[in-house]
Order: sequence, then structure tokens, then C-alpha cells
Amino acid sequence: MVNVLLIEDNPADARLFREHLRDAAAPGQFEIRVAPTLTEGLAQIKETNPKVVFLDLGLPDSQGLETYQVLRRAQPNVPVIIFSGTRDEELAVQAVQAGAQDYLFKGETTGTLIMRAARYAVERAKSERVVLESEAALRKAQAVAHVGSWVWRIRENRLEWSDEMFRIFGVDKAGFSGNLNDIVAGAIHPDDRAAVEASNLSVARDGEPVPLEYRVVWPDGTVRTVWAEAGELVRDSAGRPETLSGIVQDITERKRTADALMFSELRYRRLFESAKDGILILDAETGLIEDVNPYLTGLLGFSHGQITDKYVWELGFLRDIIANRENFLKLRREDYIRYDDLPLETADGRKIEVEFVSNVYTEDNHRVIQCNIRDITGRKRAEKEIGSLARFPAENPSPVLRIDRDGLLAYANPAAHRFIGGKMEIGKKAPELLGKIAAEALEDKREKRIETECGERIFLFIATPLGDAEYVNLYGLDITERKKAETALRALAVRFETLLAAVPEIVMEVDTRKVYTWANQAGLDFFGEDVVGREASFYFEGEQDTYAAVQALFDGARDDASLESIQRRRDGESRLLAWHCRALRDESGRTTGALSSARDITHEKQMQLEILKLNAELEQRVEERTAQLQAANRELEAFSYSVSHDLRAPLRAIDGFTGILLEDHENALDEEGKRVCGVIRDNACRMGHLIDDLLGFSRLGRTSLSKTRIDMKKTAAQAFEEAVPPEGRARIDFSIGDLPPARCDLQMIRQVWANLLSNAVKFTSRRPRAAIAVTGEASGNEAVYRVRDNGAGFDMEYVDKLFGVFQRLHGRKEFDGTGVGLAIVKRIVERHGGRVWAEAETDKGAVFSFSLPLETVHEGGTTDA
Amino acid sequence: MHDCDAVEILVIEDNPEDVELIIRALKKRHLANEVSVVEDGVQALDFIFCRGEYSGRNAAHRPKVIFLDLKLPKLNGIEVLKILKSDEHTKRIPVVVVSSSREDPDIKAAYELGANSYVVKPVDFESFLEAMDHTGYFWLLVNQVAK
Repeated sequence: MVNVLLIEDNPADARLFREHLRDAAAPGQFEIRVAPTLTEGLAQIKETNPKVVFLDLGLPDSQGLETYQVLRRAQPNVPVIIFSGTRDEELAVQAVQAGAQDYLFKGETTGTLIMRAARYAVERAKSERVVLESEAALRKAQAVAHVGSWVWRIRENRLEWSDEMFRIFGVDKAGFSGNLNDIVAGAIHPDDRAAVEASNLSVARDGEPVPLEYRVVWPDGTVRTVWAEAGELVRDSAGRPETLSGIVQDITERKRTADALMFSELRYRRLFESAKDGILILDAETGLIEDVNPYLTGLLGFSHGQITDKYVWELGFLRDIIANRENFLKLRREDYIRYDDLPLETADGRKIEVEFVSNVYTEDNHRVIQCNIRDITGRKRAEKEIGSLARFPAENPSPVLRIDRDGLLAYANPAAHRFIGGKMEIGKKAPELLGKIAAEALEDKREKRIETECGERIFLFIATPLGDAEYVNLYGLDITERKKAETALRALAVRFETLLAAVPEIVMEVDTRKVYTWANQAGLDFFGEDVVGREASFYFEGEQDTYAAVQALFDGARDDASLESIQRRRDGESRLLAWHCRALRDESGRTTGALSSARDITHEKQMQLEILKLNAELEQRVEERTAQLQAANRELEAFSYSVSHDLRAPLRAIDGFTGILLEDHENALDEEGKRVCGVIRDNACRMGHLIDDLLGFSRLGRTSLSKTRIDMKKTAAQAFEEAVPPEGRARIDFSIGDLPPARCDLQMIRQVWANLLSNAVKFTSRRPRAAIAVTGEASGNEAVYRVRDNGAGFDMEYVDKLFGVFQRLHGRKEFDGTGVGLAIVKRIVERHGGRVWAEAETDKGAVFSFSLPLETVHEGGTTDA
Repeated sequence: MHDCDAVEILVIEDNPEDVELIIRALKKRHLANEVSVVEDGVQALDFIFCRGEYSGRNAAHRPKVIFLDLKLPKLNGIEVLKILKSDEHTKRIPVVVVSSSREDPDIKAAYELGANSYVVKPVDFESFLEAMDHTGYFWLLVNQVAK
């Protein structure tokens, strides 16, 4: 449907127009709107966008050609047909010249005419618009390409320029003279003027146009580069150059782009050289290697020359993907190929893994394949590590579990099964305690911890909510040893505290300024509750060198020091304290103070002084006594000497002279006289024996012991042989058992055996057969020796007298003796630290026993300390 | 007394009873004629070295054996022994030390000074004679043989 607007103020004319058109056109072919004034008509054009407008020139708001011109200015693109009541040929020509499509006279119009005029107007307007548009496009194209055209009328030396020329030269069209010289002088860059003039001259003289690049300078100073090229040279009939036309193109931007391109190529090259990926460029048609970047040569260990100018399938390291031409064709066919991990072998045989990406693209009508090769050996290793880390929970020696939102066990590593025990199944309810803490961790969205015993071990479970808190990971840490250590440490701490509180000693800590920083109960009791914070010297009584004595501790020269110091007790009394101080040092060895213990030794000191005094007195007394004793000993020795010499001399005389009496005066003596002489001699001898025994006995107390290891059996046997002459042995059944050895003085112990055995012999002398048995055994820490006989025995009632000096239990007539023998035995045994005793019964024999301490018998050792 | 020069046995003893008993014992062995007796250490040295009251004695006639009691007035037996054993002329004369007691510590000292034997004077006279036989007589005989 063709939309038509009629601007007509006469309703009759309008009705006629409608009728004509209705009669001529097919129904619905035209849609007609009518506007009674120009103003309304303009409004309708805007609103309904008619294809064609019929315009009456005589309207209420406008008259004549002016009506058309107003409309034309407002709507230049709408085809307009003048529909006039005036037959005015002049007006009609003016209207068509001004751009109207047609001029219809109302009186001569028919429907067909109107229809055809409308149709033509529409078509014509359309083609006019195309022409206009193409002209506009040309202008636009010239502007965009910065190409201007010119014509040089050589004879007049005048230039005609297209619009774009003015823009290229930055010259105002209005002030353009068209004079070539003016232009050369005003707009060409001074450096390029000579070349331009030479070119112009060459054309003018020889008709040989020379293409030329030069610079123009705009009035504002802007410099542009242009390219001038001449076209056809037109000559006049005489053959002289008449006009020359050509173009000028602004190539400033292109030059700039070309520079930019050059830079970008440089940049690309630099990228290629420095890339941390290997890059290989192939000719996509031939498969020839064109270029390889340094990174790839470095990675593979080949030189640039070893790779370039070879066919890609000749490269050993790429044989897994491009082993032959078919593979290469595939590479070319598929514009893009990617291999995630491709094993490559380097020049030195090392295996590396790479990522391979190939791209095919066109470069200056030349298809190339760019292969990017990235070393992913490190990444693969990292991936492997991640893989092993993923296995880590299974290998973890500590329990690792996962519990989901429903409290179900999602994972438990072997350690978890081993330590937690019980029945744990994946997908079933988790152990209650762990399930509970997992739920709490999920609830609070943060880590939770709990300690629990698993058998003999104690674990700290850390529940960590993960992901979108859909599950909780639990990590068990075996803290058994730590707990044990903590418990032990706590017990130790308690013990120490208790100990420090319980000890009667004062325990104090001072810092390096000697200010008390801590005191135990005893310390508080002594100095007072306010001692902490006071300097130690506050409690000193009198002048003291205490600080000097402990200075070495603080200097680090010594670790401990002991001193005595008089200090003031809380009740004001001066007390003597015995201090032991030990330096406290931190990890770096710096002294931080000292820990000291003190004891109140005031009383002790008094006692000590007392004891010293007593000791001194005692020593004095002992010295005196010793001197007395030594004097007494000397006297005793002198006495013994006298006794042995002087007492025996008269006896010898009595005996000797009685003997002379018997020998020289035998005849003068009767039998009784002779008997009396015998009695005298017997008693003299007896007195001699008494004196000898007594001296021996007293000597025992004075001589020192010389102990050696003695074979008691041998010693006893020898003593028996010495005590009994061979002829006397026949009547004696003598037996001797194994006797433990002893450490004793040989001379003395021989005396013991001799005395005991001669006693046994003596007291069995009345038996038809004597039986004497010597036995011994080690018993406890002593050796016991016994001499048993079947002799006369004695009454146990007098056993106490048995070992006394000169004590006898038998009459002289019965058994001879001085009564000193057993006393000697007793004294010797006791001097050896042993005991002696006897058991007997009258006429039933006797057992004499003595013991010697079993001293440590060293292997082969025979000397005493 | 008797001939001091031809002395065989010199008895140095202060106890007259002991002297009498010793001489009686020597008589029984028929040695009494050659016995000289002095009563203290000083007299003993005078006799041996022919000094003092014995200055007229022939020093060449040395006793063949000396019986020396340890307990003597003035110089005691040990002192006499020391002098005898340190003099070139007398140190080879056998000296039998006579003591009242076996316990006498001087016996040890006497041996260390070079005494040749010792005898304890027992109370029993018979035993004394026996002891003389075992000691003095032996030395007397040894010296006679050596002569």
C-alpha cells in the first residue's frame, strides 16, 4: 500500500482527488490522508511518513513557490508533486528546478495521471536517493581513505580541489586561491618543497608525472604525510600539456600503523625468543621447520641448526606425534591439536614430559603451524606428589576419619580401625563420641577438639568441618606420652611444692638485684610475710661480706656458693643462717637470679662450739691418760724384767743348792731328809713355771698382733705333735677334721692350740684310751673351732671360773698345772675378736670351743689393711 | 785365783750363787781349771783387754769362750758385747749370752750384735747343765779344734 498525503485546503478539490484515485487504482493500493494547511501537512509527514506528497501551493498558511520551498527544506527526502489550480508554465519550471517531481494542473488531472505521477515520483525519488547516497559514499570514502582528487590546469597554473583535498592540506576552502605556487609555498613542508617543485616541473615540461611522498604542514603546525600520484595528462590540439588530474592520499595513519606493525613484529620476536615455552614454527604446506625458539633448543639440548630446515617427521623427539607425513597432514588438517602429556627424549637421552599444542594460521598468504611445547615434568612430579598426598591418610600412622552430616562414617584409615577398635563400618554410624564432636564442629562451623582414651593410648581428636560443611575430618593425635609427661610433670610440680613447703629449710629466690622474688613457707615464717619484694640486705645484721661471697654466682664464674650470715628474724632476734646458693640461668646461660636454701644454725653453732671445747678437753685428758698409761707400761715392763731375772735367781739358788745338798751330803741325810729336799726342788721348779706363765700372760696384752692367713688344720696338727711326745700318742685316738682357715697371729694361735690340746691330753691321761677330736666350721660370720675329749670334764657350775688366771677346777694331785693356760687362750682369742667357751660334765669329757671372725679372705691376699 | 793367762772360759756373772753353780757344772765336765770369773762389765773388759787390776795379764791369752750374763752392774751385757764385737782382737771370741728369761728383749739385741749363742738359766739345775753342754761346751770344742 502506497501511503499518500494531500495538502489541500479546498475540501471539494480533496474529494475530487480521492475520487479520481479510487477510480483508477486497485482497492487498497493507496491510502490517502489530507492536511488542510502546510503546518498540519508537515506534522503529518513526520507522523505517517508518506511515500509521496501532493502539495497545493495556495494554502491558508503559505502561498506560491515559497510553500514548496518550506516543505522541501523541512523534508528534503520526500518526493513532492505540485497540485496546483493555476496553469502557470513559468511556476511549473521553477518548481521542478527547485526539486519537485511533477506539476499537475487541477483542471486537467485524471485518476490515471495522478496515479502514474505518484508512482513515478516515488521511483524517481528512490533512484535520486541512490545517487545521492553513492555521492555521499564517495565523499565518505574519500574522507575515510583520506584521498583527495585534484585537477591542475597547467596553462593557467590553477588547481581545482575536491573537498577532501582541503581537509588533507588543512586549508580553508574559502581562502583557497587555486595558485599552485601559493600552495607549495604555504602548505608543503620546507624540507620537501624542492622535491615537489621538481616533480611539478617534470610534469609541466616532459609530461612525466612522478609519484611522490611528501609532508604538508597545517596552519596549526600539524605535520601530515601524503602520497601524491598523477593520473592522465591531457594535451591540447597542438599537443601541449593542458590539464593533469591526480589524487593525494593522507598516509600519516598508515605510516604510523606500519611502524606499529614493525614494532609488534619486533615484540612478537622478542616474545618468541624469551618465551618460557618451546615454540616450533613449521611450513604448513611442506612440513619444513622454519624456526625454533631458544627455550626449545635449550630444553631438548639441540642447536638451532640441528632443528631448522628439516622436515618435522625427521625430528626424533617428535616421533610419537609426527612420525610420518600422514601424521603431519593430520596436524595440518586439524587446525588445533593438543596433547596433555607427551613423553619427549632430549639430546642426552633424558625423558621429559611436555604439553603439546599446535595451531595452524595464515601469515601473509602463507600457512604455518605453530607448535607450543611446554615442559611439564615438574608439574607431573607435583601431580604425583599430590597423588601420594591423596594416599597419605591411608599411610598416616595416626587415625584419620571423615564423618558426614548424618553422623555416618565416610572414611576411616587403617590406623583409625586399629586404635579406635570396636565395629566401625563405612556408611554406618560413627563411634558415639566422635560422632558427637563432629556434629558440634558442623553446628558451630569451626574446629573442635576432644581427648579420649583408646585402649592404652590417649588421643586428641581434632574435628575440622570441611567443604560446604557437609562433612567433618577428624585427625587423631597420639598424646599418650605427652599426657604421661604432663601427669608426671604435674606430680613433680606438686611434689616440689609440697616438698618446698614441708622442708624445714628456708628456700628463697632472688633476682639479679638481690631482691627476694619468692619464698617458701619456712622463708615466710622466718623473715615475715612481706619478705618478697625486699632486698636481701634488709635482713643483714652487722657488717657482712655476703654480697661479695655470692658475686661469683651473678658473674657466671660459679654455679653455687655456701656462706654463713647473721640475719634478723621477724621477731627481731639475730640468727645465724647457713646458706647454700645456686645460680639460676636461662636458656642462653644468662644469670637471672639465685635460688638459696638456709638453715638456722644458731643453736647448732653453739652446740658445735661446746663440742669443740669438750673435744679439746677430752683430747687433753686422753693425752694425759696415754702418758700415764705409757708410763705404767714402762713400769710394767721394768717390773716384768725384774721379775723374770730377780725372782728366778733365788729360785735357782734354792734348787741348785738343794741339789748340792743331795749330791754332796747324801750320806748325812736320811730318807725323810732326801724327800724334803725333793719337795723343796719341786716347789722351786713350780714357782719358776708360775713366774714364766704369769709373764707370758701379761705379755699377751702388750705385744701387737701380726695377722696372716693360717692353715688351722696344719697348725693344730703341729701343736698336737709338739704337745705329745711320740710314745704318748699310742693311747690317744686323735682325729682332726677340715678346719676353716683364719687370719690370725701364728705364734699366738699356736699357743691356743697347744694349750687346748695339752689340756685335753692331760685330762684324758687317766682314760685307758683317750679320744681327742678337733673339728671346725664356718658359721655365720665366724669360724668356730672345737676340741672334744673324753677326759675328766668338769662341773658346769664352775664354768665361769674356768678361764680366770690361776683358776683351777682340779686338785694338783689330780692334774698338774698353773691355771694360766685357759686364761691365755681366752686372752688370745678375745684379742682376735673371737669368743671362747666350754661345755662339759664331770667325768664325761669336755668340749672347748673358740671362734674367730671370718674376715674377708681375699684371693691369695695375706696381709691386713 | 788361778792362772789368768791360760784361761779357757770366761764367766761374766754377778750372782755368786749362779757363779758357784756354773763352776760346779763345769767341774763336772772337768773344765773348771780353765775358768775365770768376773762380776761386772768393767771388770770383764779390764780382764779381756788386760787393763786395771788385770794389766799384768798376757793379752795374747784370750778366752776360748765367754759366758756373758746380760744383767750386770756398771756396764751391762749388751754394752760389753758391743765393745767386744767391734774390736779386731776380740770380735772372733765366741760369746754365749746367758739370760734369766726367754722373754728378754735383749736376747734379740745380742744376736744382732754378733752373739754366737744364748742360754736361759733355768731354775732346774740339771736343765742348766744340759743347756751348758749344748752351747758353751760346743764352742769350746770348736775353738780347740780350730787351734
